[in-house]
Amino acid sequence: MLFPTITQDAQLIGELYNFVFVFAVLIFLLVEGLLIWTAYKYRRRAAGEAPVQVHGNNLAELTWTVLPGVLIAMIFGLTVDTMSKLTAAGSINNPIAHVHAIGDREAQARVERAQKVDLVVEVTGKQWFWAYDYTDYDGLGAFGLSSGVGDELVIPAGKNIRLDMTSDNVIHAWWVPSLGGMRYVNPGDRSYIWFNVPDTGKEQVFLGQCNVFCGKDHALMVAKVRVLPEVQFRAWYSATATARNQPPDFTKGDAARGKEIFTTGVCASCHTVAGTKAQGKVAPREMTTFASLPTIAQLPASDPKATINTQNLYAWLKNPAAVKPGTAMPNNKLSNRDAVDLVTYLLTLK
Amino acid sequence: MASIPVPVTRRGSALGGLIDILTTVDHKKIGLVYIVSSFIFFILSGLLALGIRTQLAVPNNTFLPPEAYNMVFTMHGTGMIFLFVIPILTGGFGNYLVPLQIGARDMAFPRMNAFSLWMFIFAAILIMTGVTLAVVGYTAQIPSLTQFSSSAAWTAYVPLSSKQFSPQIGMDLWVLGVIALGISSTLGAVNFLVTIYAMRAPGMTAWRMPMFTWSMTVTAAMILVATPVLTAAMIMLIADRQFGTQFFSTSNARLWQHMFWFYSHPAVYIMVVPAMGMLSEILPVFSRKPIFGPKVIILSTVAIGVLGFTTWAHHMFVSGISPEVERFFMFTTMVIAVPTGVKIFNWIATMWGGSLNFKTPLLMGFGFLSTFVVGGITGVVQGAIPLDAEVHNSYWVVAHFHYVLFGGSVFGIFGGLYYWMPKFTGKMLDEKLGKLHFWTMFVGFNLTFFPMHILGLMGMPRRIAVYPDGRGWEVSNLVATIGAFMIALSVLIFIINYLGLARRPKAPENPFEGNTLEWATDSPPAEYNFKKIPVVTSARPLWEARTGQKDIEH
Ligand code: HEC
Ligand code: HEM
Ligand SMILES: [Cu+2]
Ligand SMILES: [Cu+2]
Repeated sequence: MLFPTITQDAQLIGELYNFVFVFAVLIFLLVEGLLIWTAYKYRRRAAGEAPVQVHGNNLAELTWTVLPGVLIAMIFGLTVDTMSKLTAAGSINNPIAHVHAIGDREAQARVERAQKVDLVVEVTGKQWFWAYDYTDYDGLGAFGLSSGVGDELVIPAGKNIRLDMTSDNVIHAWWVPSLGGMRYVNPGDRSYIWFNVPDTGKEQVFLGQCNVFCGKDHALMVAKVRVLPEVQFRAWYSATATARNQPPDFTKGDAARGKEIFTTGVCASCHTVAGTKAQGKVAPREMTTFASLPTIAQLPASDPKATINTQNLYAWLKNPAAVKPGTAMPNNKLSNRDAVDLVTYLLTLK
Repeated sequence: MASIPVPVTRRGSALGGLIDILTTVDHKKIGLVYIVSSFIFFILSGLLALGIRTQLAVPNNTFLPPEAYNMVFTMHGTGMIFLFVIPILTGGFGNYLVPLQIGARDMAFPRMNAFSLWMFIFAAILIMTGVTLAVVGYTAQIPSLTQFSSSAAWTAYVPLSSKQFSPQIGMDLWVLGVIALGISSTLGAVNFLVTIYAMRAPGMTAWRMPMFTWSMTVTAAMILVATPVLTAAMIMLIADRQFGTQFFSTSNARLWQHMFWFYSHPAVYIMVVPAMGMLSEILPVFSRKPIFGPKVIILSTVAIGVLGFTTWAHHMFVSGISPEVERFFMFTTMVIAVPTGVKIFNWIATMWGGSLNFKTPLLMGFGFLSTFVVGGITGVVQGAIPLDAEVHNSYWVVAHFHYVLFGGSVFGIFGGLYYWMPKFTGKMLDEKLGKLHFWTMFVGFNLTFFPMHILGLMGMPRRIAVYPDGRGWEVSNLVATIGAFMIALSVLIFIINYLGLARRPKAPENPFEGNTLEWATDSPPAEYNFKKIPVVTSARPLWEARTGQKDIEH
């Protein structure tokens, strides 16, 4: 493998690869060697050559049927052996680590029993970024990183991590090569990745990319994993949780950040603002002059939640269905801070 | 230009020629229309490949915007597989050669044959017009035209290919096109099977059948089993898109993957088995030896045909099927390497001790063998589930399947074109240009695709429209792009060679000392193929006639 194999999974896979690679090179050299030798030795030297007519040789043919068979059996055996080691490590080939339908509680319980983990992150494949929901770490609370602009998966070193993955649109795949094998991230399913990045005492960064073609900006769907030593991670976690969960303070709204999220992040795949990168075609109305529109989401003006103002807009963004039951606008699980910045930005669209 | 030996019996005028093409039911003309038209689609899909490689030549390139890139790689894959390799091998070479090789006057169902051809042309027009409009749309900035092409990859995974995520009409055109191709292909398969079963010349027992005809038998059987499944999946997809039938609703999106790969894994054998058959014709002829172990070659082809149906889920190792099932498919995937390996050794043994006549067809044969083996090896590597989990959908896989499909099928196709061109046209392609073509293509091919193994192992996913700098992917990508332009140059050399045919003298009757029945008649053969239906007494009737010796029965 040409990437550093960091986790135990990646290492086991790397070892298997190196082993198989040796055989691959040997077979390659054997066949190419034979070809070159045949071409040289048996090239036609005189026009009238009449070689001996050999129609076959049972023994030779049996040999080159059986020998490759033995080789294949060996590779198969080794692979199964690696897989059982991976299973023991509770990872990709863990029989219970596979995908199951969302709502299959029994399967979910099996996954939970499979291995003790220190941190669970819910990962959602979006078009075209990864959203991370931290459910909890050591009682420090929950928060989400789902703005779609440069969010990183931050995790502690030396801890067992589990990613619970799903998608609310098309199929994606989670693949950070150095941390082990990939897994599809399917709509309607939950799939899992386990890993544990050894502590080096320093910050480590690993890059990966979505690995199932998922539409226009598939190429930009990068996964960046930042691994911090436990102490630093704890500090990061509580600081982020506090910042994200602060009660909304509209005097601190940052319209520039709101614009970035809206036009290049989570909202851009559905909404359009003329003259920006947001050219989504899902929402029924353009947002270019949103703040001058009569009401939110074409609600009747009689509805007290319909008027476009800070509070109403905030409520809409945090939970659209609570404002307009049955709306096609999803709950994007925005953190308080993201929502405040977005409201600030949206109100500038006159 | 008027004297280029295009594949038509002229009836005096260009119009007469056109009418002849449009109404013919002759297997040779149908075969040649297939060959010429699918070669045009090869050129178009190749131009799209140059678009891909130009965009990826350097990091952060903006030559193609992502929407355009996605369309281009989708249509490159679709075109190469559905409109080039499969039709040229089965519809083209198969149609032309099988009746001649078995000593028949035509296919069993000539009119159905013509129907298959025009179904194919119709489908190709449906798909290719969409691409052309979309390309115009992107270059001339007319957004309304860009919706005429699909951009959901040639695998069209749901839900990406659903109405919600691919609303454009191009997706529907693509699905309709593939349905039409499926019908064309399935009818063609029936035609081959009946022809080969019922119309062999007297004395042509199964074991005396030429290797290419054998490979077409297995291919047709595979098509017959596999293609209806794909066609059904496509009909279900279009019903989902147009009528909301919900066959592939989110909760069973994996059904699509199963149905798609149930066809598309065998499809790689559908694309390579006929090319293997051509190789099994070329190697003995150019070594002046019989094929080594004909029964083993035939049985391994049959084995590949059967085992080919047991491996499809290796495309789903990381999509979430149960581990027991995965292990089964890992086993079958590795096992299929055995009959393939056997073939390679039998081919080498065929040449061993021979008198190798290094004309272009044999060079192409060496190109096939030396590159295909790489694809075979990488196939076993990624058949191992844990390794697949690190290389699936990466550039490693792009390298793997081009080593199989380009290295195998395309080298095979060019070998076949050089070998049978005198049969098709009565004239021979130029040897010097042929050798130049081979070496440019061989070097270009390896420059393009070898570095992709490295890219994959460095973590570069396939189907990405841009990549950042600083990840070590720059050099390999640049080399691959240079190689791609070399391939383009080599194809240009071939075209020049072909256009030069007009000025070349009439070829000898059997210029390469072929041993099978297609060489026992005029070049190009008359409408009825043989004045008298030959009586076959061995696998190499023409060798017997030429040497006056009796060939051994196996
Ligand atoms: C999956 C698509 C989707 C995403 C992602 C999405 N929206 Fe929406 N949005 C909609 C739809 C559909 C509507 C129209 C809802 C209705 O009228 O019931 C809408 C309506 C709105 C409205 C009211 C617009 C109007 O016409 O009155 C606002 C404001 C809004 N969205 C903001 C956002 C913000 C901010 C984000 C990013 C955090 C976002 N949306 C992400 C689909 C989406
Ligand atoms: C002419 C030289 C060729 C070049 C330079 C070339 C290049 C490429 C490249 C770079 C890709 C990857 C695109 C991506 O993933 O973003 C690709 C995809 C593909 N190529 Fe080729 N290719 C060539 C010929 C062929 C041939 C002969 C076939 C034969 C069948 C073929 C079949 C495919 C298929 C099926 C895909 C996958 C498309 C998809 O992902 O949907 N290519 N090609
Ligand atoms: Cu993606
Ligand atoms: Cu396959």
